[in-house]
Amino acid sequence: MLPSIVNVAEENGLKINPRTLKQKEVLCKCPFCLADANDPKKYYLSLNLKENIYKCWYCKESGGVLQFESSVTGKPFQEVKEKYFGKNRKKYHPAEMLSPKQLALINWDEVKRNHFEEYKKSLQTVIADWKAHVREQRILAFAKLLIGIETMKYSIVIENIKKQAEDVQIPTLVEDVLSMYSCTQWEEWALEGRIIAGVAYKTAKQESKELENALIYVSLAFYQAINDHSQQKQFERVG
Amino acid sequence: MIKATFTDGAALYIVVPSQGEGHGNVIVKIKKEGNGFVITHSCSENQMDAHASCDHKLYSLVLLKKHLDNYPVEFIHYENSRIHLQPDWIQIQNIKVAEC
Ligand SMILES: [Zn+2]
Ligand SMILES: [Zn+2]
Repeated sequence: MLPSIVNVAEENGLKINPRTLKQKEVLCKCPFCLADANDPKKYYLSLNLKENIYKCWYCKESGGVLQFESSVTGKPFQEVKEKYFGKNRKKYHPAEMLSPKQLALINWDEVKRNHFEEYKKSLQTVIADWKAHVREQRILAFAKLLIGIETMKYSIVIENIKKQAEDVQIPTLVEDVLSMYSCTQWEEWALEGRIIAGVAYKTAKQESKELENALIYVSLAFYQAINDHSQQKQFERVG
Repeated sequence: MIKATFTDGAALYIVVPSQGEGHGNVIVKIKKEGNGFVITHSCSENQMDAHASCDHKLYSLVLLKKHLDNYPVEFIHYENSRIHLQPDWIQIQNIKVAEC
């Protein structure tokens, strides 16, 4: 049984506008953008009790009740799901473990919502897409890490990768790259990251002798590489 | 060579390339314990015997020799355990050691 979204809000100490408690849309302070924090009259986050969904009118953060609990508690989506549905109820395909936000990043959320049968048939493709996404993000993060260490900006780069992990919905990203860095034999994705770091390092050196902004060139080199890669694929297809 | 140096406030960590084929690192932890030091890392050479000699150990020793006034120290223990880079470590300037 799914919990009520208003209960989840109350349990997590969100400030609810008491006047809306009996209404269809319960309003409360938005914990995601805090844009309404300083105005006692404003409540930007709307909780729809009937559909059990939330949306902030200001920052547009939105989703279902499980995503909501996951976001406000900081617990992984899967953990929240298991809290209500149990662990071994049924064997899930790994693709079914992906959260709505994760699915959105690989453009499968809409298919799941509106064409469920097609989604069910495509689980193999979904998980392959997710793995490709993870691989790509690891390459980028690893390149950042190498440049960060090279330019004595370790703490800054760690914060940067933490932010990336949040944006691309890979909670283990920091751990993934740090443990690979500490490994005696780097895997292929790390070697690709190393090449990108090399390109970024070179460009940074050409642009300015200081390596202050080398981190910027990592993203540049990364997107260049991705671009080349997809172009190559296209050529292959044409050929 | 020493690629990078870190500290967690209690120990020093040096990043040394692994000697294997391809690319990779070995992180060596150097920690003062009483009047001696404990040097911890894991590489292909010290798998069987924590006291086996390898470059990682060598660098650590050179580093200690170079920076301790009262070298030799009372004891140096070697331990075999894999050290992972941690997000809360602080990066410090690489200690310049000619031999590394
Ligand atoms: Zn908001
Ligand atoms: Zn060794």
